Amino acid sequence: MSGNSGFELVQEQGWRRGLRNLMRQGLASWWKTSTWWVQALIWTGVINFILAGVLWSGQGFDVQEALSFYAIFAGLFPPIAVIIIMQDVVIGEKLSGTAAWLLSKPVSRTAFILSKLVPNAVGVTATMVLFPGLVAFAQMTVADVPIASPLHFLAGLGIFTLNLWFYLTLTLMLGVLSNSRAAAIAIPLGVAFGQQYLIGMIPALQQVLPWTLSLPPGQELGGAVAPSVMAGVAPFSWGPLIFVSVCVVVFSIVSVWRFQDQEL
Amino acid sequence: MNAIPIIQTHELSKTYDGVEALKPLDLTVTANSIFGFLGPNGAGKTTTMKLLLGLIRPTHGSATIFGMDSVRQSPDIRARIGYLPQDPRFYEHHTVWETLDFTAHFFFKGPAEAIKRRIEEMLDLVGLEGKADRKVRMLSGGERQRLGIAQAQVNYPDLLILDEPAASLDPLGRRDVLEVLHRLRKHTTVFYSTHILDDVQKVSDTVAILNHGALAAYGPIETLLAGSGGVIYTVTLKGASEPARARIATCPWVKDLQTSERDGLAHWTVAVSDEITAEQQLLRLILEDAGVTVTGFGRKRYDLEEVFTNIVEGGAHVR
Repeated sequence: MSGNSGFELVQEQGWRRGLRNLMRQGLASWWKTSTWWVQALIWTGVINFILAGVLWSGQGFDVQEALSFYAIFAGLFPPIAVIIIMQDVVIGEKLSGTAAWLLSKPVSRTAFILSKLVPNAVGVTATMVLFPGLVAFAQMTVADVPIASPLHFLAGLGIFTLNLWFYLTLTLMLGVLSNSRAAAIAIPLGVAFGQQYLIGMIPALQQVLPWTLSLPPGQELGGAVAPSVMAGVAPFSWGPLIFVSVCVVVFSIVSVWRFQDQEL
Repeated sequence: MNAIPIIQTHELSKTYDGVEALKPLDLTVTANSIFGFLGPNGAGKTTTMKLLLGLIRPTHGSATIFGMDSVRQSPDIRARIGYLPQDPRFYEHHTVWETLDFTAHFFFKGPAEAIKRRIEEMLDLVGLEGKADRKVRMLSGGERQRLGIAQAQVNYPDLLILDEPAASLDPLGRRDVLEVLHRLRKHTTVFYSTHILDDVQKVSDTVAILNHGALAAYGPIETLLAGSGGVIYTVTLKGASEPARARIATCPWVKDLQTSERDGLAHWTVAVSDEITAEQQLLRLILEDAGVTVTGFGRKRYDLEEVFTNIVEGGAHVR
């Protein structure tokens, strides 16, 4: 290392080792490429096009109906995109050898996983929740939908975010635990779409499963957690919010923990 | 030569599902040496390198690098290492420059100008200066290999671990890599694996040969090339050599004497049990016979390929 005296050396230690550089790279892969605007365009377009159909059809609407339509599309489809994006994030690097290359540098394994978790969480939140949400808010304001308050609307967007993070961390964890892309994509998709059948068989599960964060718990259109919060109405249960929050933390911890002794 | 140990392994071993990929390995690599690590495919070379880098964990035993434990202090060790994987893979969407810049930032925060100069130096070192803006996915195998060497060297490491550094290169590329290794020797210890025995013979000072996960030979290259079957002399003679042959064969320190005729010359291979006596007397005894002329005389030297083949195919052990 002689000959490096003209440099300011990186001083990170412990779990933070390599984190700054990896984060910079992870964020750049979203924000310095076409990824961010492609995703933002798709989700802002899809969600708001459908919302516009409800708001401007000329047949009238009620608040719950408008918000519920918005919640269904904002809560059902983006998780599929998140699963597709995340399924290869760790497995791809393990199988291609880039993970081994990165971890031959002074990089902690915790930093490696965080650099997959945080930039992707920020990316999907901004492009699949925040941008479409802001446009949706503008549409609803123009259409005179009596939203409780911007803060309530923001809280609703937070719930959509949590819903996305559930699938993001689940898929990330499966990528750490397995080297099978099929497993990393099929299991989260199975969870995403299997919940409605589980709730049909065991109705009590609507009190915990993420499905009811954005999709109606029963046959009626309304009642999901996120649109209720946006409308300033108490949701039927806070259980899904608590359960999903715990899952996000547990999946993240398991990802970091299990990656520590992975052989690359 | 400086004999400070850089790498030391103590019964380092690795087992996968009951199969011993690496049997207990004791090895020392000293500072500023170019250590050639040889063996057929599946011999355990890459496993050893990955163990040293902390990419996999040993089943038994331990390794120290710069005096630090390869498992517990792996990030500190990796801060002083440059590594070239066997099949180097980088982010395909990065350019050559971005790959080196990304790598450099694991070690250096700045200044930006110094990092820029270092990257330019590395590009120049491996002959990629005209391809800095090319995407990694557009590189040929050889160019990718050169980029691998550049990124391994970007922090001026104290130890370079190179897994088959010349594998994808054409003869000129190989020559350049060998020159780079030779130049780096002043500042760096090089631990590298290869299948190209000629390269090892050209640049290495110490060699280890792994076979079926076990260390089959290990030592200074000169020792290895001198062979393990005792001391052998080769003699080429012109004229009537039979009387001399009969006289030499009866010497008590001659273990074996093989002769062959080629192009009117007699070729002897003389295995001796007493190296000093043979050195003093063998040539003198042959020349006692006036009817014979010695046109060639010397101690037999193996080439590395011969040593390697003997070990890998014959199970011989040289140490």
